[in-house]
Amino acid sequence: MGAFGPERLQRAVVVGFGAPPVGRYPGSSPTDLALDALADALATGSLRPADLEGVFTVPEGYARTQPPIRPQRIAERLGIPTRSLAEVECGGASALLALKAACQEIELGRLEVAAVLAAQVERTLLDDGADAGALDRIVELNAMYGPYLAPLGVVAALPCYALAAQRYMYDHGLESEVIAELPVLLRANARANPRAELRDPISVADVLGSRVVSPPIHKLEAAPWSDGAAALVVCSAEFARRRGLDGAALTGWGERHDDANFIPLGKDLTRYPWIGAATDEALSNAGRTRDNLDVLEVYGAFAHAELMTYEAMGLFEPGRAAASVIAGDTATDGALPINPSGGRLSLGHPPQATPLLMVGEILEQLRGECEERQVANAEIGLVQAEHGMMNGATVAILERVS
Amino acid sequence: MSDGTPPNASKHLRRLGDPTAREYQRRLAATGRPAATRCATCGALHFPPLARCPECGTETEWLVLPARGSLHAFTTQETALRFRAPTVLALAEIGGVVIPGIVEEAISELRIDEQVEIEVRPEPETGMLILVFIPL
Repeated sequence: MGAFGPERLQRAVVVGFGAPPVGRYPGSSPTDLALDALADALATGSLRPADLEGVFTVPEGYARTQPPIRPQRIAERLGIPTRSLAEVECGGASALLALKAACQEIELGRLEVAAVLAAQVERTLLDDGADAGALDRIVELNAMYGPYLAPLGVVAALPCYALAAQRYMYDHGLESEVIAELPVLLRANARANPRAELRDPISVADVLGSRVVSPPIHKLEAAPWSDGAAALVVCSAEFARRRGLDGAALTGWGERHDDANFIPLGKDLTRYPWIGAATDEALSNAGRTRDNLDVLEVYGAFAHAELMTYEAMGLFEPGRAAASVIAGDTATDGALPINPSGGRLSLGHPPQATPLLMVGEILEQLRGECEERQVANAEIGLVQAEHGMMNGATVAILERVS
Repeated sequence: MSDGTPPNASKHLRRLGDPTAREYQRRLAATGRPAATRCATCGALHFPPLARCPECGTETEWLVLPARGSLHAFTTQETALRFRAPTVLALAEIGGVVIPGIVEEAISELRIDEQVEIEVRPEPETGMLILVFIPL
């Protein structure tokens, strides 16, 4: 029996979202921050903790400096017996995969209501300057950069993305001035999002005048490494009907993982065909096309990577995404609004929680709750999350139900 | 960071590597040249090296790569262990695969697709072998 095919017993619907503003939470524990987010998510659906039958979490972050968010600990803190618990890990896509796990249980008829929680609180690690011991531990714990990059001192994603960014600009003859338009647009979107970490307007000159953190990437072309938390409540369509809850139904799912551990070594660093395949699969499940999409939240920890992702998703021709951004196509009043939240660059990027923040934005857009940043008549949304250096793609289609 | 103790590459390889990665390091040491694996049956070339061909399932053979290649992309790292800026982190295309390494010349002097000579050198702190790309 397929959870997402026609044989599914139930349709899963996201009905609750909570997230404190993205930013800095020194002294907070990921579990406490995630529980605060969950309390808000339950409140948006007028639900009680006792309504939850399952709890799905992701590990607590990159450096593992904090006690983990264990699902059984969450259940204990809430005082609820459950029918399903799981912790899901797959890099930056973890939280979207945790949502998938919850939706599968609902679609297979095992659960009616579940919570998905994630948080990351590691900003101070970077602010205080990680020492060599901490960096060594990060390398070991993540095994992220593997035996071919780690000997070269690589401990962050940034330089890997920089290599791809340089090649992308070179292959398509793109100037820095063109790339810099994306952060400017995302910042303009974030201005109207009370959850966004960075909301002061910026110009192309500001972007190009910001520090080059890893050539050709400027500071303002990179997402801030943020603290944050988010929680979703997902339930069966039947439960949503019974309670009179508006929500976003998961109607399509697509997922592809390239074989690379992190940087897709030995491949074209500017093309990510698996992202297109995952997008095709999700749209096909939902019986939709790219033209049907009203609003999208797309990953993009760096401006260049975000543009390459738009292209890999088949939204624009290779090398043409920046021109479409400049033409206003991706603005909230454009033909294909992308990242009305401000995206990773301006909403802020607590990686473990990011996919839930993206789904939450789509939920609020579909419910028409976004005020100034509201995309008009949004009924069909898409969320795309990645892990590694764009080498894993997960795509969810969400549609308004009331 | 160095406290005077001699580098112990095997400790770092145990932590970071797998048997194929350890064999890769032994190959670098034995030949002084970069290495990749090739499937003896279908001829597919792999980097990172693989013990078995994913298509044929047969054991791969090791291939010594040329000592020359071209720069595919390069950058510098602001936060890194041992190799911070101005050392350049680079990818080079070598004999049909793309492999990471470092360049010691200033980043402003480098061009994409520039020809480089490839040298195998121990990283002073860990003793692990790395590739150094030297513009011709």
